[in-house]
This record gives sequence, C-alpha cells and structure tokens, in this order.
Amino acid sequence: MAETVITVQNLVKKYGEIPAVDHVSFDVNRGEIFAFLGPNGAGKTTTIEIIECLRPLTQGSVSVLGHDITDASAVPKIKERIGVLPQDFSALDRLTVRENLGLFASMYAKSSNIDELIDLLGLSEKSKERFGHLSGGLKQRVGVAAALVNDPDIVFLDEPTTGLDPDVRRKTWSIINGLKRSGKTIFLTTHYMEEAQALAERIGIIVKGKIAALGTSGELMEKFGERKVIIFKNGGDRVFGALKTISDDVSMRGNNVLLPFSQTAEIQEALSTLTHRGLSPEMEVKSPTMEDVFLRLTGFTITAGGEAE
Amino acid sequence: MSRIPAIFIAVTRNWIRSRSGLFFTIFFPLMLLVVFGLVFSGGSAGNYSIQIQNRDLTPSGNPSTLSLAFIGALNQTKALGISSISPSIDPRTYAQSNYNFFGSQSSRILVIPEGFQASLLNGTTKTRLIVTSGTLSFLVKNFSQFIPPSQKQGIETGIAALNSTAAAFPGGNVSLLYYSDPSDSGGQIVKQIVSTVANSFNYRLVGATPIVTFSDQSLIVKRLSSVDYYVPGLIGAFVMTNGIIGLTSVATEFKRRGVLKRLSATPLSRFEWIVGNVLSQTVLAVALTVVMILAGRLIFGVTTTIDFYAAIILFAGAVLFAGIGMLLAGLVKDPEAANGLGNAIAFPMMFLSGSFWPLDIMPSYLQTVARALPLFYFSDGLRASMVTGNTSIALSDFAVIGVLAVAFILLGSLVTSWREK
Repeated sequence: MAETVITVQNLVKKYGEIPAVDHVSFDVNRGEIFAFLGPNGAGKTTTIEIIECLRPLTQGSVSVLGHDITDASAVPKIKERIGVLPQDFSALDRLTVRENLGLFASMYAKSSNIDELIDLLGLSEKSKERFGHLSGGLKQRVGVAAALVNDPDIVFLDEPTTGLDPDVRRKTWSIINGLKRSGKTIFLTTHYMEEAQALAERIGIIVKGKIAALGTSGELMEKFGERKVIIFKNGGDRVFGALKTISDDVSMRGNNVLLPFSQTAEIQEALSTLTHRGLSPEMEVKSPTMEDVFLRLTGFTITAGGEAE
Repeated sequence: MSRIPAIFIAVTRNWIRSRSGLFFTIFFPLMLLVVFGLVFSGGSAGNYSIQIQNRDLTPSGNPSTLSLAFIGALNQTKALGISSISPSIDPRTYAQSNYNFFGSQSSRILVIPEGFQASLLNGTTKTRLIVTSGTLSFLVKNFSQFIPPSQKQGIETGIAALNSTAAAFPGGNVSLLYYSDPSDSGGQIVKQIVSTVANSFNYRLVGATPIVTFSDQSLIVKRLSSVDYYVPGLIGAFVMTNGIIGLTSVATEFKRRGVLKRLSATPLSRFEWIVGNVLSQTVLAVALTVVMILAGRLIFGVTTTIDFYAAIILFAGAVLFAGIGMLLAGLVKDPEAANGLGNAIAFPMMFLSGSFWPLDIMPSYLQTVARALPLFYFSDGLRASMVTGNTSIALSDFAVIGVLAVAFILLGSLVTSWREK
C-alpha cells in the first residue's frame, strides 16, 4: 500500500455563497506525479493554494505530510517541507538569480546546495543576471529552482508550463520527470491534456469545483475513452458498404471510413472482407486521447488558453 | 531568526539598485538642499545708514510683528545703521528738509507699506511652493530616465497639487518703497542689502536664534544659517516620502506580482517580513542623514550633528512612515493608485509641516493643520536635537512620533495580507 502524503476529504471552499471547490476528495501518494486537469476557473489553483496553507478552507479536511492544515502550529512545519511554484512566479527584479535563490533558501531551516540547483536547471550562465532581465521561460525555471531550495518532500507546480513555447515546455517536462526520479512527490495543475497525459501517473479531472474523474491515465482512457479506430482513407462507399456487412459501428467522415474496434481479430476480419472484394485502401489506426476522455466526461474541450469550449 | 536579516538585505539591495529608489532616497534631497541653500541665502556688506518708515501698523497703532522682525533682520546684517521716521510724514518732504538741514548727508529711506505682514504670510509660503515645484519639475524633466513611468505620473500629480496649492495663496507681492539720491554711491549698496534681506527674510527669522559658543579668549556668536534649517527638514521630509511613496509602491508591486504570495509560501512569517522592511527603511534613513549632514558641512559649512536624541527620533520616524507605507500598501491593491495616493498624502504634508520653513510665517489656520501632521513632530524633533540642542522639545516630539510609530506599524501589520481570502 502506497504511503499517502496528501489527504483531501470533502474539501469545500466558498466565496460568499458561491462554491469554488465543492466537496473534493482525493489522496496523493509519496513519489508519484499527480495532476489536476481542468479549464480555467475550475478550482485548481484554489485547491492547490489551500493545500499549500495559503488560503483558509470553508469545510472538509486536508492533511499534508501527516499535519492538519487548520492547525496553526503545524503550518510552518508543512511549509518547511513543501516547495511551491505559483502561477506567474515572480521574484525580486533587481536581485540576481543567485541572490533570489539565496533569499528563498534562507527562509528554510534546511536548504539544498544552490550551485547544484542552478546547474540542474541549466541556469549557470544566467546566475549573475538580474531576475527582471530574464525571459519568461528562464523566470519560470528560476521559479522551479526556488521551489526546490529546501529539498522539499512535495513539490507543488501550479500550471508550470502555461505561456511557455512548446520547446521550453518539453524541457520543463523532462525537469519534472527528473524530480520524480529523485524521489519527490509532485502535485501539478494544468489545462494541457497532453501535459497531464505525458507526466502524471494519476489524474484528477476537475470541472466547476468538482472532481469529474480520478485515476491513472490508462484507467481513464479505458473507462471514458473511445475505442481505438481504424481509418480507411478515401475508402468511399464501396469500403463502407463492404464493412457494413460485418459491423454496425462503421461510419463515414467525408470520404474516410471509420471502424471502431477492441480486438485485433476484428481488424483481420475487416481486412479479409476488403481483400475478398478486391479493395486495398490506405489505413491508419487512431488511439483514444485524453481529449476524448475529457470531451466524453464534460461535453467540452479546453482551448490552448485554458478556456472551456 | 536568520530570515529577518535575509529579508532586510534583499529588500535594501533591491531598493538601492533601483535608479528611482536611489534618486528619491539620496539624490533629490541633496539637490533640494543645494538649490534651497543657494536660492534662499543672504549676503553682507559695510556699514550704511538708512531711515525706515514703518507704515504697517496694527489697528491699535503699533508696528506689526513681522515688520518689526524684518527691521530686526536688517539690523542683524550689522551692515546698516538704522533709524526710524514717523509713519505719518511724507518721505520726500522729510528727505528735502533733512537734506537742507544737514547739507552734506544723503537720505536713504525705506518705507514698509501697509499690509506688509499680511502679504508676507501668504507670499512666503507661495514662494516656497513655487520654488520647490520648479525644482521638482526640473529634476523630473532632466532625470526622467531614473523614474519609472508609473511613478512619474504620481510625481506629476504631486507637482500639480503643489502648483494649485500655491495658486490658492493670494498674490504675495510686497512692494517696499525705497528712496535714495541718485548721486549717492551708498544708495545702491543699501538697496542690495535690503533686497537680499527681504529675499531671505523668512530664514532670518529662524536665524534669529543664536548659538553662543565660548573659546579661550573670545566670545563667538554664531548665527545659524538657513541651511541649518533645511538639513533636518529635508531629512524629515524624505524619510517621510521614502516610507509613504517609496515603500508603498514597492510593497504594492510585490503584492501585485505575487512576490509576497511566494514568500508567504515559505516558513517566513508576516512579522519577520515587516521587521525586515522596517529595518531597511531605518538604514536608508541613516544613509540619507549622513549624506545630508556631510553635504551641509562641506558645501555650506553648517554645524548640524547627530546625537542620541536625533538618533532615536530618526529611528522612530523611519518606523512611523514605514508603518504608514505598509498601511497604504495593504489598503490599496493597485500599484498606480497606491503611488498616486502616496504622493497625494506626502507632498502636502511635506510643505505644510514646517520642514522647509518655520510655521510662524504661515497663516494661523495652516499652523493648526501642521500640528496635526506627523511630519511636523518629526522635523521639529530632528531640528531640536540636531540644530538648536533643545532636548525637552526633542523628547516631547519623540514621544509623539514613538506612539504614532507603534500605532501605524500595528495597523500596517494588520492589513498586510499573509493569506489569500
């Protein structure tokens, strides 16, 4: 049984009468990457900031590393052992990268070697540069370094790659995977489906303050994803007609013929049927994506900007 | 507790590396000291005779206080032999008869007109406001690269407020009438002396407090110069603006950009954050004080010093204005609005609180306003301890600032949010 480091039970956060987080429950296990996936305004940041002891909760219970977050005396102990990358991380503009990391490090009783951190994040050449002069991607990297200065047990990354270009995003992913390999527990929020799919072992899909689904990405695909689909390119009516004889699920999209399937035997049957009729269209197999899962669960998808659509 | 020094070092570094921070903390006060020192200082000359006719009388027929003070100031130049003539006589007739009677002696007659005191009360304040806003505009225009646009807007608001305050004072032109014989070579010199004294008259009022020092052989009476007045006044005023304008905009900026939130996610407490910032403000106040005293001594030869009383007043003042800065930053979310509010509070306070000129020369309702402003007690206390050495005034001012400092630092701490809602 995996050790849980974060336990959230029936968490409710209301602003006035409006619930931003509505009876949310989940656990995070030691050493895993856990992702909160959802559009803007779903309650991701509110939840993560409650767990980070930055916002009070309205109802429910949250424990982090065995401490109840509503116990005021436990809060400094929790903060000592977590690392936080907020959305839009910012530091003191006129201090250098190294000075800023030194400032964050001196907030903790225990701290990592700053030189090693600077190396790890590829910031060596920029260590004497003022924070205010850095590009957005580099600032974000300093933010990740700042989240690691105390060698934390849990690292919280709130939308770590929002606004970064695809190249920098992939670099950040490999850094996050590296953190996992070094034994850290990672809690991240994102509105990028492919980010959750690429990084997280377990994903909580959060919509309008509620958890819509929770599980490993495999479990979610199996449970909520479409079946795999074989696409016969430019198959036309003849291919459609032939396949109609073996499956009711076959459909046409434009001139392409789509055949959902679960087992390889179904493909063999389809191919022999087509060969029998002298047809050999080009084929492509499409696996279900997190986007399909999301669409199926919520009835909408998320734009690149994080809005529900 | 190593967090407090870390915060202190970080915010101080961040401040002094900012061009505008350094500009307003050190450079601008220094410029004002030099400009004020040069503009409002008098000269001296040989001994010449002059007759004064004082027409500025109170309803009961006595000379007005300020006209007497002005005559006193002329007398203090020790360059003039002053005698008075009756207010009712016509100066030309008097000169004519006098000339005829003494034959060789030329008459120089100065007439202090009716309404002298009233116009002076309004005019001096107006002049200072105009000179200060002029200096500020000049600096903003010529050193604009040091000032971020958001702050510039705040300063311009401040300048506009200064100008409109100045415009609210009735025209302060005092026309002294001066009669002299064109063939009299001394006439022009006396005129120069009178106009110099008139220009620096308000400061002569301050200068009327002598410090007497003894040496082995002789008694030296040292008159304080106007610069002696400015040094503590400018220190007070700029410790105030550092807190109310500078710290307010820095703290709101930290909040808006999430720096504060990120720090609050570490074990740092709100208390440590505030203490670190307040310490930073006191160190900046000490730096400003050292620079101003050095400049005053090197350029103008003033004798201003820092003693124990000045040190505790300076500390309490820095804490007080840092507390007000924290309070404003806690109450106003938007950095631009906070900057505007800071300017709107700081500039009027700077000019109404007796930091740049004595309260005595302001209209009495403004004197009442001044006594309600914390900067009055700060500047007054600094002056009492640094210049005149009046420890009882220094201590009572310290008591006022100390109580306000505790109150505002508590309020400032209360509104500094360490948790989101």
